[in-house]
Amino acid sequence: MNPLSPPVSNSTPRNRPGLDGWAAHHLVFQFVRSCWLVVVASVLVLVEAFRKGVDTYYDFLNIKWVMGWMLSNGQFDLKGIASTRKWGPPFLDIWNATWSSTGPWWLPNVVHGVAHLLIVPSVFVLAQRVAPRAPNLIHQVVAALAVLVPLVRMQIGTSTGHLYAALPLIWSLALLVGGRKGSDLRGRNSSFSWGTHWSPTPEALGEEVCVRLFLAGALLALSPLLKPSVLSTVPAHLVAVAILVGSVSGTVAFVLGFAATYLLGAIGWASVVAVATTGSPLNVQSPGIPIAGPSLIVVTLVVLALAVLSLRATSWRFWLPTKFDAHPVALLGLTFAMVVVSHAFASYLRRAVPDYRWLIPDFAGLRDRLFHAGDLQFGYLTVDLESAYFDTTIPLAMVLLGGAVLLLPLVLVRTGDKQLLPALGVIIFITYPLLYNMWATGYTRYASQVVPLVGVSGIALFSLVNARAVRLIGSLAVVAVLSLPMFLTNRVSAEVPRFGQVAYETPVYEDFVSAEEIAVLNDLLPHQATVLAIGTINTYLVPQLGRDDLDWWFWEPKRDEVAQMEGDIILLFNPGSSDELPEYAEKGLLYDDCSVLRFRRTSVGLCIGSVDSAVRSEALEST
Amino acid sequence: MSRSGRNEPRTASDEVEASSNRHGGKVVGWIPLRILAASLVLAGFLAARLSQSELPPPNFAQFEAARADLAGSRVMPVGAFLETALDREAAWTLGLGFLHPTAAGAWMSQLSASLRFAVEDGLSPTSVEIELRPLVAASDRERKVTVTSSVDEVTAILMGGRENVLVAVDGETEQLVTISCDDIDSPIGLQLGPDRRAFCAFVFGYTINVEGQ
Repeated sequence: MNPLSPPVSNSTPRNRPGLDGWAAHHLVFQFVRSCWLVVVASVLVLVEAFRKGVDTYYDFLNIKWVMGWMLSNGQFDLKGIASTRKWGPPFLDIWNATWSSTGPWWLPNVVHGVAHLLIVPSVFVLAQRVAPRAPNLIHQVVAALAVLVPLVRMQIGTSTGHLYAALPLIWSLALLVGGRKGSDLRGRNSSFSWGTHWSPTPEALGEEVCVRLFLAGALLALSPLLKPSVLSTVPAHLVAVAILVGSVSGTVAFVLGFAATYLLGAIGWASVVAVATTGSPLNVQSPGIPIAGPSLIVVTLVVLALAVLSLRATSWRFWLPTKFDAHPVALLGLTFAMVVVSHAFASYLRRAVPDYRWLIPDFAGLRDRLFHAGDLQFGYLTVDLESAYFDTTIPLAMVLLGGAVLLLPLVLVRTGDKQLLPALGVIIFITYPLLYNMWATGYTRYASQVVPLVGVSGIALFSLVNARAVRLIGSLAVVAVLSLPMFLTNRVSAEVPRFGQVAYETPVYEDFVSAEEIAVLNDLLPHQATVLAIGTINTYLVPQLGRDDLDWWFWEPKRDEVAQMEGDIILLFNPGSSDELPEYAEKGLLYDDCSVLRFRRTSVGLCIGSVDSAVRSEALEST
Repeated sequence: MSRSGRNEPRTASDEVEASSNRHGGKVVGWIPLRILAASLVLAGFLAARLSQSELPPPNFAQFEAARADLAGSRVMPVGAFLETALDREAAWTLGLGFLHPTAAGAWMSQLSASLRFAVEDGLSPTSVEIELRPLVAASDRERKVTVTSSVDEVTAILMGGRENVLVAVDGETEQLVTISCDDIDSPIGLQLGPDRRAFCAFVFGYTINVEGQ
């Protein structure tokens, strides 16, 4: 039964024209009865988003707001603010910057809240598809817990982006496991509404399958297009795709859908940046992609051509021989190959990781990290996130992943079991990225987009059990473990924090900087002045001023650049970073008459700048 | 569609149904709704984008008036304890090196920080008494602090409590007093709290003494 389209009795046919009041009332009653918890949890997300107060997420205030605002205004010369980030897909930053730069303080919260609440019905539908034999209430509880676990709840209503990235991830998985219309494998005779692991004959792997797998891959690509850091966890998702899809050919279709969509979005954007900044699309580059320039353009075009061809090709010409295509050994071999590839990516990330606070030195450390519940150590030191938290999701995910890996050999033995492969695929697709990310970066947030899905992987594992009582007890155990943080509230870090917020201690229910304060600052910045923003947490003032006459600098200028500065010069700084001012003086940028505006919630330092005459002389001599 | 054992589509409705099946059955049925939803989202986004405000640049008179207002905000009364806490007028005299004030005062986050204040014309300040508390570890409770004005320099060893340091000033109406520390530490580094920021001392406030008081 799909509660989103509740069954209608014969007396009230679904498409009967002119439903009378009673029938309509009955439909509403049925709907509410079958999804009441989903509705309540969705509303709670919206309330939580509002309750968080104005979003003061550190990365957003520090970099992303001004970057999104400038890029959306066609300003690609960022002069030091995220100069390399501009090459990556900035779509979510532009989205967030737009909502934060207009309207009342709560507008972004409402927008984020509406987007984040979609997680609940999405997980609900996924849970139904993954475990149709589980009770409806379990589906609903799993959907509710997807947003109530602390690691997710702390991000609701904020601009961190991981919850936005979670949505296409859920939809991609839902499409992968979604049932084919009229499939006789759907329903109570099968734990999975087994959509993609169809009979792997060339006929079966026809257009419909191809399009569905391609679309699933394309949906997955939306995740890193929204949140570029998610790209690093994609190899971990791909590990599970072969066994989830059930055929090598299907895996290729999925990967093509992913690659084509990602490259279209990411390289399409990077080409715009290349044209705007260098005058030629051939100078394109994209973070996370090891090639650049014309090679990248060629690769993108080849992938797009292959994608178009794969969608147009008839099955028997395109796909591999049947026996090989779906053979368990081939699937496990492909899975193992992806594990090796993902390990190589993890090693690369470990070498390149910029933050050694979280990096795990060895496998013993990895074990400890994976099975802790996010508490503090050594008094106040957080273990794998800047905020203290208590959450049981990751340890549970590791137990489920261990169970799935132990069951994998059964794939070779129980070749006729049509439930086994997709169930294991779902579990690995959801849980392996948590293990992978912990080893690669050690930082929990980078994989937090899969946290809402862990409950689904739990009921996927127990859906393999035929005994109804055991299946039910297993699902309840999953729910109980995920719910623990809501009951064990006496722990040091049990309170759900406001993740990464500058206004950390208490929520702020008004603009972080008021309109009056912005007006005061505005009057202190002369027309067409050169403004050097120094230190952290001050660039968010730029979009709020909204002035295009000012020439903003976000990096320390060189002496020859200082020599060319004309007109009024203002040094705008975070008072906590004022020790950086002497470095500017060394470059010939003198400062005087420094003041600090002590606003209600933030402080802004201002100095009047001038160019050292010696620097101008140097420039004149050199010319 | 031969794989599902059905005939090839012959009529328009068959074509639609075949297309529907090809693209995932119910998925296609939802497409108009999705297009509508996407259009609404896009329209909302564009409306938000177009309604962003842009402040006009100040003219010269407005700029000068703003500078004068800023200078005026640093004029402090004399003979009374001036709290440097959030929303107190003396908070505007916290210069470079001080973080945003809290409800009790303000942290020095660098080796050096300055107080920049003024008194009414006709008054002649003689000294400033600053009340502060250093951030020190439980094991090592000493923090060397130097307070400097244009005419005086006082060095004190603070022991972790709330203490006063008195420094003479030159009698001009505008004053700049600098506080320097020998080191800064973070509460998390000293295992005193979760804060990662590095501090020297917490300044509660100060008193401006004038001639004749």
